[in-house]
Amino acid sequence: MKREAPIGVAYLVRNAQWRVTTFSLLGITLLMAVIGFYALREYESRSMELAARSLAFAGEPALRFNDKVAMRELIDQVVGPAQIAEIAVFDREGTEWLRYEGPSHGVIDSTARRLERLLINVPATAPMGDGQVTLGRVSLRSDGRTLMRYMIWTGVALLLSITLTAIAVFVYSRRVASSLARPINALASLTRQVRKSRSFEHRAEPSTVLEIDGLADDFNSLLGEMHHQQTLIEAHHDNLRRANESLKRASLHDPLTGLPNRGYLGQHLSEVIACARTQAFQVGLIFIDMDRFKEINDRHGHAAGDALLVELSERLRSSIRDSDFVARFGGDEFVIVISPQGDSLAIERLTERIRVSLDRPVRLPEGHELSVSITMGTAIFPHHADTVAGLIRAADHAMYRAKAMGRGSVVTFTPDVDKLSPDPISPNGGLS
Amino acid sequence: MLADLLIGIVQYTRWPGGASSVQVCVDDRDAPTALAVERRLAEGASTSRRDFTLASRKLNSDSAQGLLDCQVVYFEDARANPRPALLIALANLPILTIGHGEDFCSYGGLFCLTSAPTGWRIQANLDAIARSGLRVNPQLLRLTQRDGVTR
Repeated sequence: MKREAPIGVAYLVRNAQWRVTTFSLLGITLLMAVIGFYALREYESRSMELAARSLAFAGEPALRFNDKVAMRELIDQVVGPAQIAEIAVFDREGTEWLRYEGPSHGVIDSTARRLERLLINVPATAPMGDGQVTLGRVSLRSDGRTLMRYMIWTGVALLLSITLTAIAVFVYSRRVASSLARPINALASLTRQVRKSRSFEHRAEPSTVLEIDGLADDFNSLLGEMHHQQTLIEAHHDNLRRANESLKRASLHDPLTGLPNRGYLGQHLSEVIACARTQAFQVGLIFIDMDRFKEINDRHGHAAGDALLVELSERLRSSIRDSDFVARFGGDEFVIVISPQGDSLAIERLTERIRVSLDRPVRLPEGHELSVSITMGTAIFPHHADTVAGLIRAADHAMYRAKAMGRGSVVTFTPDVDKLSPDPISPNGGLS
Repeated sequence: MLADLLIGIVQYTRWPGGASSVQVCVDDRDAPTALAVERRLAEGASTSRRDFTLASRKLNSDSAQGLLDCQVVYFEDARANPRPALLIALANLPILTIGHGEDFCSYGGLFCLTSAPTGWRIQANLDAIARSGLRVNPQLLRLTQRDGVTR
């Protein structure tokens, strides 16, 4: 469907007023013109009749004595002021005795005469005689100048009043239109402003036009509601964001020690390896297993085990560099990712630091002091494995090898280590 | 034509006392005029209810004696024979005198007829008309006063 171009309020108002006023003006003028025309026609006929009578009276002897010269002289006297265009005198037998036609100057006169012929079809006639016997009759026609003048003036008056009306309509409609359009435009610009800046504090001005005032009120209450809604949404959004953050944190961290969990480790390690692949640096991995954790748990209780894990994770965290990463892999197992300089030297230094940090015994909640011993297996990307799972597996294997060699030792992955134990990780799943 | 003129002038004239019949006296040697007037009257040329009668008189005397019962006296031969003595005798009497030639009015006639290319023209002696006591329709007098002719 084709949409029509919208029309301004000013145009609507002007159009409506213009139509009404023009219609009524035309109606009134037409009525007045018709009435005036009939009155004028009556007047014109009467005055012509009177002229005919006086001409008949004065011209009777001329007709009686057949004196056409005298009649012409008489006619010349009468014709000027009476505005007569045409005179015909008929004798007793009805044949035309004398005819006079006034001179016609130019288009205006001939137009006026044609108009007169059109409007007054019968010429004014008067009998000539002494009252008993008729000698003849005289008939005459007006030159129509009065009629035409009337018509011209009527036209001019109509034109003038239409012009005045047009001016009045223009001025008035502009005033009305501005009192309508201004508040509407203000509302529209307010709407744009609210939309653009999302600030719902602005309010629409009250208007003198009832409907627009109502609209402004409704608009204001709508703005108020939207403002309220907006604050609610913002609060809700904040809550959601916070919940989301804590949820994310919970999903990536171990609740007991606060260290990244196994999932986070996988994520971090794959990012680091992808980075190491493109930038060609080495990534070191240390797999740590606490020695005799099950025994400690059985002897001192789970609370002591937990405290031990927390203390261990704290010491591990303080031993690593800022760029390194430590995660609780599960149970009493921890993994440290060393990047970007994860070469054997860096691994050696770190294992040494960890060993030193564990020299100090751990104090349990109930007062016992325990010395902690761990076994570590290490592997390096890309020398020992070039995938996430492969690297972890390699370090894990190295750790088992170290356990076999004796608790508290450190073993770096070697290919023959691989044959020692088949695959301890895959049953646990998770890493790929 | 001449008869019409005569009848017309009579139509516009009123005699003192409101005479209801008009006697038109014609020279007894002027039979053609009498005949013409008679015929026009018979044809209905008169537009008045007044009775017209025609009488033939001898107009060669200088006395008005034989003409006192006439309301109109028509002088057919006034141009050749103006008869000023008779006209003076008829002055001050309510008798309408009509003759030919401007001289007729100069000698005291009331209306004088002159021939013009368009037909007859009528001239009037206003003084004589005033003295005669006749009332002549001003429109007729107006008709006689053209071209500044006053007598």
